[in-house]
Amino acid sequence: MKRNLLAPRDHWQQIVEKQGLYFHTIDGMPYWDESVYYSFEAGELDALEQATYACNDMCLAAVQHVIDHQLFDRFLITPEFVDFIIKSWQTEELSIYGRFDFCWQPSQPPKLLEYNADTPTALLEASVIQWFWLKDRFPAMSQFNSIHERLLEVFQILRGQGLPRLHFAAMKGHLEDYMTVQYLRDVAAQAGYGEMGATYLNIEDIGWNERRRTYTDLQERSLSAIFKLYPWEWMIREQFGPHLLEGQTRWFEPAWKVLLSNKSLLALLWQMFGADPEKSAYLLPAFWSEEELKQRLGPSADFVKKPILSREGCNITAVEGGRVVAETGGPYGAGPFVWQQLHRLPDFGGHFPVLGSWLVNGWACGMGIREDTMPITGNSSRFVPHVLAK
Amino acid sequence: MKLTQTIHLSLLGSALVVAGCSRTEGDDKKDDDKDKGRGHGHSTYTHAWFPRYYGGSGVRSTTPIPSSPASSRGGFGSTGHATAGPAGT
Repeated sequence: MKRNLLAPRDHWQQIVEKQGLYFHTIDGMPYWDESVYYSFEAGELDALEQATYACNDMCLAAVQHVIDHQLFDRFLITPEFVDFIIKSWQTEELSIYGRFDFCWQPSQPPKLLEYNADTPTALLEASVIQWFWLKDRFPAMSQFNSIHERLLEVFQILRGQGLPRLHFAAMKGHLEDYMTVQYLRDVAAQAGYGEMGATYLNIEDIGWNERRRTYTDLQERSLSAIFKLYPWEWMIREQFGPHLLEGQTRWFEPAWKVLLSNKSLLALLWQMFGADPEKSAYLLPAFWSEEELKQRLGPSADFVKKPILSREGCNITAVEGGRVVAETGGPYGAGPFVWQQLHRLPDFGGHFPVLGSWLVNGWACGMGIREDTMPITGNSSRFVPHVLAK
Repeated sequence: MKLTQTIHLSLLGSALVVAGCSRTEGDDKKDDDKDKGRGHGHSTYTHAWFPRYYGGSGVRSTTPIPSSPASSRGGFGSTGHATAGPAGT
């Protein structure tokens, strides 16, 4: 894994805009940063692929464990939604995608920092933008990236399951979310849904028809299936949340993903697999209390404190040598929290990359890298492309 | 490790798609009224970069509206707006 510098393409902003990336610059600084790229050897990407499958296997086992041991309160799931979640799991409702974020120090296995299982973004960048960049800059080289093909496959599967129409919803006013959904909608249209079978709807415009007892779109059509870029933990607490229990709508991501997008997962994975030498190699010790962390790892253990429902790197505190070395603000400061052993991100001259490994329909199929000058990756951390060097 | 060979995009890359990001239900109704005035059921556009065309953000179709009472709306989205950040991670 090497970090390389390269002059950006002339008019790169216009180029990526034509490919759908309108949010390439944040606060005057490039979010899509092609002045840098990372190069990997095939063996390194094989290791990342293996880590992704191993973590997915552990996560699926964790869902079953939560159900078997009724651990829903650890995930702040209120009792009325337990059966709803269990049903989505037992009927094997299909997951479209997810992204594992790994810290990867040279000569060590990739370590799971967290799993963006419900509403991952940076998808367009990973699937499309960096691929076209590769074709422009290194046409003879390759990339760990078959995200687009896997997405096509999964939408073809859904069509084969008899879902005649898919709606796609995102929150109004957030361009990144909106374009992520539009990309997925584009892929679904190409997978057989066509332009009228894959329709967009603001999350705020989802209706509830009291007489028909169904969610509806703006034309009063029942929502038979909808991809929502809106987290389950918010949906179940909002006004229309109780209707989930009676509605006939098929949701993507499925409801069981609410257990995997919650950072309580990190503590559960360590509880389940911390003693397994092979599987624990991909995990960082994590606990539901600071006391437990210090009991297990020692009183001077360095750690990162994360709210179990935080998003985009908000309200994270890193403690090293007994003092706070990094801290972010946000609206999730009330907790509850998990405490994860601090594992330093690799330092490339003051740049700290996190590797996001994409899973689509169960396939590890690509990578996107976010880097920052802070050791905590946040919403504005830069996306940088990669190549397979050998 | 399978690698991507080709990517075709139909929808992305159009400024009109982006314009849909901040559209409201009211905007859609206004457009519907305009469409009716022009005598066709849904708005379309083209973009030189991509061969196909799509409607804007709102649903555009000639599917008949059921005669049941209208749905209530706005029951999802409040938490996201309260936190003032994107829903994606």
